Amino acid sequence: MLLEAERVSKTYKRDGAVFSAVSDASLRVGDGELVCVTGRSGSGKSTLLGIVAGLLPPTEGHVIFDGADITKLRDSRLSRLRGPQIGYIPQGHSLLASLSVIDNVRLPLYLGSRAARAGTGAAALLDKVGAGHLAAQYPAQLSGGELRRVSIARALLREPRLLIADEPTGDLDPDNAAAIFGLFEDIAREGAAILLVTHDPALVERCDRRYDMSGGELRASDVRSRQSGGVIC
Amino acid sequence: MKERRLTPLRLSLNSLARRPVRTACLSGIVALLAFVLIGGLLLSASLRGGVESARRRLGADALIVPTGYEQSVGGALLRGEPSAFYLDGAVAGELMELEGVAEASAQLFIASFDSPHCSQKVQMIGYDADSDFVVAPWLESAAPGGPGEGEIIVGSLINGKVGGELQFFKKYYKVVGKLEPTGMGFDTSVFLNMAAARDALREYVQLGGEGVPQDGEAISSIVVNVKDGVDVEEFAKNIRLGYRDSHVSVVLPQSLVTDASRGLGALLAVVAALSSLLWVLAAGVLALLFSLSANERMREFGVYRALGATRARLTAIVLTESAVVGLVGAVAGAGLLAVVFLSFERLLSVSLDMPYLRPTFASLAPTLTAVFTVSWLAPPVASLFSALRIGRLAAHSIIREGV
Ligand SMILES: Nc1ncnc2c1ncn2[C@@H]1O[C@H](COP(=O)(O)OP(=O)(O)OP(=O)(O)O)[C@@H](O)[C@H]1O
Ligand SMILES: [Mg+2]
Repeated sequence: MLLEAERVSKTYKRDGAVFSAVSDASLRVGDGELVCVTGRSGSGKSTLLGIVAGLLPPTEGHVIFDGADITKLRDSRLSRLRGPQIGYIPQGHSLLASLSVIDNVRLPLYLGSRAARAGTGAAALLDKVGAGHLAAQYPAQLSGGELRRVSIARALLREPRLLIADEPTGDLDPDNAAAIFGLFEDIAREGAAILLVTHDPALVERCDRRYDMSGGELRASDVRSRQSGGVIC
Repeated sequence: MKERRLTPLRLSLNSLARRPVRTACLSGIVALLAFVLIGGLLLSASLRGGVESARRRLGADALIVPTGYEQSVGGALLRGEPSAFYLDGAVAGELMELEGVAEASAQLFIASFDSPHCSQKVQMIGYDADSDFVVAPWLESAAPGGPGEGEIIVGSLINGKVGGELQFFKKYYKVVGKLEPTGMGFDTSVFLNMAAARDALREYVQLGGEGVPQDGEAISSIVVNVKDGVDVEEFAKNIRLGYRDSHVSVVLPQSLVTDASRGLGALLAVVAALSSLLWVLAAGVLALLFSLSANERMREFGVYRALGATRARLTAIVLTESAVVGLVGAVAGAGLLAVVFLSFERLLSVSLDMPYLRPTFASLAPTLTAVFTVSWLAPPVASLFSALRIGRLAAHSIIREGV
C-alpha cells in the first residue's frame, strides 16, 4: 500500500473543551487507486486529508507513506514530500492572485528542495488539463472550473505518486465536474494513487473505493451500509 | 513566453506591487524613520564637530574684553554675530604686562556694515602677527606670512576667491588666503594685520561708525596664556576686581566651549532619545500592520505550504518581503533627507545658534550606514513575530476553505 493511515485522531481545544475533529480513522490507498471520502460538512474530511498530506500533525496515530511513518518526520523532510511525492489540492481556491496562471503552475519548482527534478513542463500540463490557452491570464480572470483545472495542473507538476484533492468539483456544474473527474481517472490510470473528497453521488459511483466520514469517524462505505442497516435512529 | 525565476525576491516584489497602498504606507513609515534618524545623526555630528572645532580654535587661556561684552565675544567667536567693542589703549598695554601672563596679544574687531560679499555681516579681525598665538599659526597655514599691507585672509563662508579683491569701507583688499570651515564666527570673518585694521577702523569712524574711543590706539580684546602654575580662574578674578573701574572683564574660552558642549550634550541626548522612541513607535506600528495583514494573507501563505514550502521557507518569504519594504522606504527617506539637508544646511547652521561644522560624508559613512541599516531593518524586525506565526499556522488555514 502506498498510503496507510492507522488509527489517526485529531483533537482541537475549543473554549477549553477538547473537540475531536477526527477520531481513530484508518484508511488505505494503493497505487493507481481512486479513493473517495464522503461525509457531511464539518465531519472532519479536510482535517483527515490535511493529516495525510503531512500538513497537520495528528494527535494520535500514524500515517505510513511508501513504507515510512511520515508523522515522525521533521518539518523539512515532510515538506520535501509535498510536491514530488504527495500532490495536495486544497479545498476552495488556492491560486495566487499576484501570479499568472503559468507562474502559479510553475511555483512548486521554487518552493521545494532544489535536488528534486523539474517534472513535466508547466505548459504541457496546462494543455493536459485543457487550460493551455489560459497560461498568460491571471486567476481573477478565470472561471471556477478553469481555476480548478489550473490547480490540478499545479499539483501534478512534480509528478507526485499520491494526489490528494479536497472537493475538487465542489462548485462546478455537472458537466464540468464530470470532466474534471475524468482527469483524475486518467491520472489514476497512469499509476498515481488518488484520494479525494466529493459529495457528488454520480462521481462517487466512479471511485474504486469509498469511505464515509461522520462526526470525525471514518468507515469504509460497504461496512457502513451493512451497519446502518441494523441501526435505527 | 519568457520564464521568470520565482525567487522569494520575485514573489515579494509581485505581492508588494499588487498592494500598492499597503506597500506605500509601510515604506512611508520607514522613509519617515530614516529621514529623522539620518537627519538626527547629521545634526548631532555637525554640532559636535562645531564644538570640537571651537575647542581647537579657541586656544587661549583667557580673553580680556570690556565689561558688558562677555556675551558678545562668545557670540562673535562661536556663532558669528559681528560685534565691535573697545578697550582703552593705555589700560590694554598695562594688562599685557600683568603678573602671571606668559603670552598676550591684542586683537581689534570691526563689524562691517551690511556687505554684498556675504549673506551675513562680516566681522573684521585685526591681529598682531608677531605676538599672536591663537589665530596666527592657523592663518599662516592658509597664507604663509599672513596678510600684508592691503591684504586679507577670509573665512570659509566669505564669497571671495584667493587672488580676488573685496571692498570694506573705502578700500579694496586682496584676498591672499581662505580658511577651512570652523563652524564658528571665524567662517564669516576676515583677518587683517593690526596696522591695516587700524586704518579700517579710522574709515569706519569716518563713515559714521560709533563707539570707538578717540585715542587711536583702541583694541578690542587681548588673548592671554597664563604661566604654568597660574590658576586661570584666580587670574581672571584678580583682573575683574583690579580693573573694575576701567571696565575690563575676562572671558575664559574653554568655559565658553564647555557651556556650549554642555548644552549640546543635553540636546544630543534628546535627539538620541527621540530617535530611539521613534524607532520603537515605528516598529510597533509596523508590527501591528504586519500582524493584521498576516491574518488576511494566512491562506496565501498556506498555498506555499501546500506546495512544499517548509515553515522556515515561509518565514523567509515573509521576511524578504518586509526587508524589501524597508529598503525601499530607507532609500526614499535617505534620498529625501539628502535633498532637504543639502538645500537647507546653510540656513540650518545659521539658525541653530551654536557652532556647527559637519564632518565630511566620508568620515560619517560608517555611522550613516549603521543608521540607514537600522531604519531598513525596522520592518523585518517588526514582522518577525508575524513571520514565525505564519510559518506555524499557514498549514492550518489552507486545509479549510476560505479561511
Ligand atoms: N483549527 C481548528 N480549531 C478548532 N476546530 C477546528 C479547527 N479546524 C477544524 N476544526 C473543526 O473540526 C471539524 C472538522 O472540520 P473539517 O474542516 O475537517 O470538516 P469538513 O468535513 O472538511 O467540512 P466541509 O465539508 O465543510 O469542508 C469542524 O467541526 C471544525 O469546526
Ligand atoms: Mg472540508
